[in-house]
Amino acid sequence: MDGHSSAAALPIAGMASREERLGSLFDAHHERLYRLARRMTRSVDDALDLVQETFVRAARDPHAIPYGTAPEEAWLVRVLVNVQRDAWRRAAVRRRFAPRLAEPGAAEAPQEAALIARSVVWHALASLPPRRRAVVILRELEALPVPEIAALLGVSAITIRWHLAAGLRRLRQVIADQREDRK
Amino acid sequence: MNDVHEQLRRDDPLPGDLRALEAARAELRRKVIERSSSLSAEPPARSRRAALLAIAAVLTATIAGGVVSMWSGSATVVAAVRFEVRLAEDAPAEGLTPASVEGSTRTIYLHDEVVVTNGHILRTRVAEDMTPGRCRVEVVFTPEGRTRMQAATAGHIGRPVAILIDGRVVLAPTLRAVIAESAVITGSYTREEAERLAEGLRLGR
Repeated sequence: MDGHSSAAALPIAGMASREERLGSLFDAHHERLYRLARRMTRSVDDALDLVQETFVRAARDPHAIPYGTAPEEAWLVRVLVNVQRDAWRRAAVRRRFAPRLAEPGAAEAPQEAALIARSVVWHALASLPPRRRAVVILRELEALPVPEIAALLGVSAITIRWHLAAGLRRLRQVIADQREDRK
Repeated sequence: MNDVHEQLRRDDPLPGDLRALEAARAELRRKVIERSSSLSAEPPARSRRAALLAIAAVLTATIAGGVVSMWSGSATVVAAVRFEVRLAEDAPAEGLTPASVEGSTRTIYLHDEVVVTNGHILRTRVAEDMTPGRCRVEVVFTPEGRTRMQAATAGHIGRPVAILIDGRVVLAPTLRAVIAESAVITGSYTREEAERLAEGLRLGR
């Protein structure tokens, strides 16, 4: 137990309440999460809701989250993608059982209106499954190397490359279709 | 490929919406912490199933501890470690016991009452510390331990609380908030030392 002798010398020595732990997680990572959330969602409000829900999940047991900047970030990013995936699946179920809601001019109208100003490629990005969307964003917009994305999302580099290829193929197809329409 | 990249960059909503985060940051933080506090106020076992799972976890840990004890004669010897948390003061007063904090020249004055001890530990966990290659031990309290910690620390904010290992004060941080669920014992522990401490804390229950 030699470690005891220097225990009190560490500046972070001590005890942390749930609120303190969560507060420090929020301060360290909320901007990073918002950057991803804003690009994964259709509006600022949706992005803020997504960030909030991610931290609410963290609040259930903040001490279970591994300590250290990189492990914390990876844990939170994965939760954020999972939260978005849950919402995406729920929306898919709603569309399946209430197809009329998905028709143009029906329930989606306000969101569709918000999308008018966005390019067709962003529209297509929003239609990708959340994990694939996150991979495209992290690679194309945040310029993260594939191994870093793999570590962040907790999957293999091969899986990341597969998602990236499929995602980009879909986006390129959308752009090509748009050009055809213009001819 | 370039078309995709260029269009994504050109219409990226983030740069224009960073200010929205600035405006919403404080409110967002408040909501998150509020939600966390409401979770703290909830009973530890929220359902019958959760209660059964918690009991099962404790039983498993106890059985596992027994196995380690049985094997300790022939393998790595792990001694039980006596763990105590006590309230303390920076200034002497009648009825308080002076104690030096290990690794420093600081003296604190301990209250006699032990707030929590090994019996109030639900589980321990070794985690990487912020110092590379060093580890910390997280101690999660039982429901009774949480209640005792909450009651003791609520009226002690701004004053020291002492963590004692085998009767020695190894940490005496100043309380910044009410502590209920857990304590983190930081020290310049190698992983092996931290594992030994975590195991010793469990054996001491």
